[in-house]
Amino acid sequence: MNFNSLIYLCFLALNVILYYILPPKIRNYQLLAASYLFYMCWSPKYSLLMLLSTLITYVCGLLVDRSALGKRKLWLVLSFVSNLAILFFFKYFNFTADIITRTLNFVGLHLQPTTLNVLLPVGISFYTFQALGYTVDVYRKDIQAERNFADYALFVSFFPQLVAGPIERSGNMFHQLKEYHPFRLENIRDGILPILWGLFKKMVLADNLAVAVNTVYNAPGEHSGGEFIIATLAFAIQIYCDFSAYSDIARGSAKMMGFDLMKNFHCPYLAVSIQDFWRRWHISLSSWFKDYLYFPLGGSRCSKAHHLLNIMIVFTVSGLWHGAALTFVIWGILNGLYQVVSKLLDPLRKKLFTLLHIRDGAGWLHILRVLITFCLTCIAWIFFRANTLSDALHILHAILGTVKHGFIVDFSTSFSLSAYALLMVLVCTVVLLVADWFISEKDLAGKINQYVVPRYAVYFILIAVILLFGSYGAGYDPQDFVYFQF
Amino acid sequence: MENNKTLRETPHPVLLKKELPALLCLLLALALFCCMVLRILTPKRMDYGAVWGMYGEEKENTIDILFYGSSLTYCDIIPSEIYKNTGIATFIMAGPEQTMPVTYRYFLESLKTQSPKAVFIEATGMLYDRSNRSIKANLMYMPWGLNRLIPTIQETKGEERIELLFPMYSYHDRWDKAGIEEIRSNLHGYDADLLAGYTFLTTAEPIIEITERTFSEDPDNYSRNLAYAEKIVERCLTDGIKPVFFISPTSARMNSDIRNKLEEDLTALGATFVDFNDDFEMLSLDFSTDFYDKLHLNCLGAEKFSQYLAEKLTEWGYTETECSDKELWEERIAHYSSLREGMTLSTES
Repeated sequence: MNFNSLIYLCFLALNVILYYILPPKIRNYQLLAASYLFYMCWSPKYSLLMLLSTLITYVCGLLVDRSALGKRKLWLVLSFVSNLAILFFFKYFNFTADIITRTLNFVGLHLQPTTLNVLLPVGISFYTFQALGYTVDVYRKDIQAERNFADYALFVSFFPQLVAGPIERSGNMFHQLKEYHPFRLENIRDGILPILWGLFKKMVLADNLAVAVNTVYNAPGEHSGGEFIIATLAFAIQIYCDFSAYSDIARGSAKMMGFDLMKNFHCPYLAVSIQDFWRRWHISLSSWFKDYLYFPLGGSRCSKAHHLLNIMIVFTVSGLWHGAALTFVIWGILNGLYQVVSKLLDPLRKKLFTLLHIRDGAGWLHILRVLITFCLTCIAWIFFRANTLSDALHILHAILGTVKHGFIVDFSTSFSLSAYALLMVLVCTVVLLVADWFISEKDLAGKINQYVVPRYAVYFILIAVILLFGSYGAGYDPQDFVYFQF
Repeated sequence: MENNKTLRETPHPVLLKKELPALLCLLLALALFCCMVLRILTPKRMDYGAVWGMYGEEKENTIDILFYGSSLTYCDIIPSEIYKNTGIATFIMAGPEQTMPVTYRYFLESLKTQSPKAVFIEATGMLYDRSNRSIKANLMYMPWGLNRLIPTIQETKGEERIELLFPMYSYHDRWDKAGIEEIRSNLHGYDADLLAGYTFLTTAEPIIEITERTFSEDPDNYSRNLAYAEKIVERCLTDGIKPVFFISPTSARMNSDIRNKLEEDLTALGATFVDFNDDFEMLSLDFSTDFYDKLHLNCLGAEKFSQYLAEKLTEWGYTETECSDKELWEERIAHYSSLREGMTLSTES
């Protein structure tokens, strides 16, 4: 049940209606049932896995809270080890076995690779991290352990954010699960716009761009450096639209039932540095890593070398979180390296600015930083999107080759999109970036929601554009949200 | 990190008295938008049956005989040839692999604008399976109304049903494919069909022998088709229309048992049954030049059959249509002549 399907919209509408019709005492049970039903649409048997993970963290949370056997840390470790073991088994076993086999083959010990034929449970990384975050919060005494199992299970499985985030925090969710949410038309109104905006991003931009990106990236031997540059730029927009669309629809869906989910994106491509980018991209994951990994490692309150090492550890783990493949690991390492190099060069940069009398807040410098950050991000995206590491290296080599061979692009055949479709996604991308800035910086959504006529005009424009240009219908293969695979 | 930013709750309340009219306006605007987009993007249906757009351009009550059925109707009968030989105005409202429930709806819908003296229904449709691939083509171009909605709900499922209920699902992606000429033509709409529902075929496949055609043997399928044939006959008898079920001349034929059962069942309903394969020799069809494929005639074969059919219609007592659109029929005769003059028969071995 994809968010961009009619069946999800019906499912959501039905649940919103039920939620407000039912007595407040049983609303959470209804949402819990709906959430498990939602998850079972992908894989009924893996809902048991989610239930197991929920049970483990629930019990460990209680044991930590009560200092059972006087060993709070033991229960925390038990929660981490068991949940990460499940995650490892389903997500990383084959990858690890492959790496070990390759390494042993490299040193002359020839072994047959051992692989497990298991499908990756949808959203396992998301709900596992959310549940683990809860255990840490209890351990740190930031919150009390949740006694009500149904409420806790709903916290882990709440359907709007279950399979692709935002990775919620116990501090933000539990009080909302306990509160009475009266029916307010304002909530419905405030939820509709993010849902429509998300559907626009997903169906009009992400899925159309995916056609061009897949065409190029799935046949790296058949394309020029210029085409790789365009496909990589397209992927940067695609992945942003795809992922932020999911978050928007999740937030809008939750809002309709009176829940406020955390913001996950904040104009990431307007970041002035990679560090700034990670403050704006997948905020719920970045903040999770900051609070539950970076700070416990010592953060920046340690020696410079240790600090830089902490950054590298966090981003390597972040890469691994995204996928069990070397390409994701390199992507994570690259993002870490950007920041390490930036920190190492910081004194030199300051000296250079002083020497050249460059004002740090100059407008042109800001634009230059945004552009450089975007370029660096795109280079990293090559590893994220490429099917294999050798593909990624081939693509990088081809892009560098444009300096020598020129920027050669065949727009008519290389992207499997017509000239009109390319123009459409270009125009929509510009609209997206401008609108995104206004949404994030000027509360455009809030302003639109104040007045009936502009709001309905925006509804009309978004629905009309989705109906006309959206990727749906006969002959279309609806693309899963990219982040489902994580 | 901005981990606790939430959707802002605006202080502006929602007032139902403002919301409801706005919602209605939105729905209306979206409906108009979809109609406009579909008008521009839906490819015109000009041949191969289901030519409802052109049928709608016929002057009311100017047709004396309506032909229904499948491709065996729209490929084998040339109304302008019949008119040229008899003055009888006919029109073909058939569709590919059409089953009787759909034919029934075609029949009801076409009676809204015409009052024929007789309806001729190609009887092979009695043997078609409801799950065939052509249901979408049959229903997509029908005017909106119960005659479209009922078979959409009853005869289709899954994605096919969605496409028929919401045609944007099928055609929205043509926005970057439809050229200016097509858009202009679509905006102009339909003109009267100069071939009156006939599909002009110029390819010849040499036929070596008469073969037997196999059909679905599902008895439920047949009885369902028969039930709708009965409805057609009932309505015909009520309205004073003569119902005729016929079998087109073809080289791939149903076996004699099925054919005899068809004759028995359909005549029992009160309809006339004619098998033109019985007159096959009299049609003088040339196996090397007159067939489009094993099932269908090309224009040469269709001419021979239509001329024979014209003779039979006169023999059966049908006379020149009194209130036909004579000017249009003259244009149709001229149009067909020009097509024939410019035609080169291509042969497929």
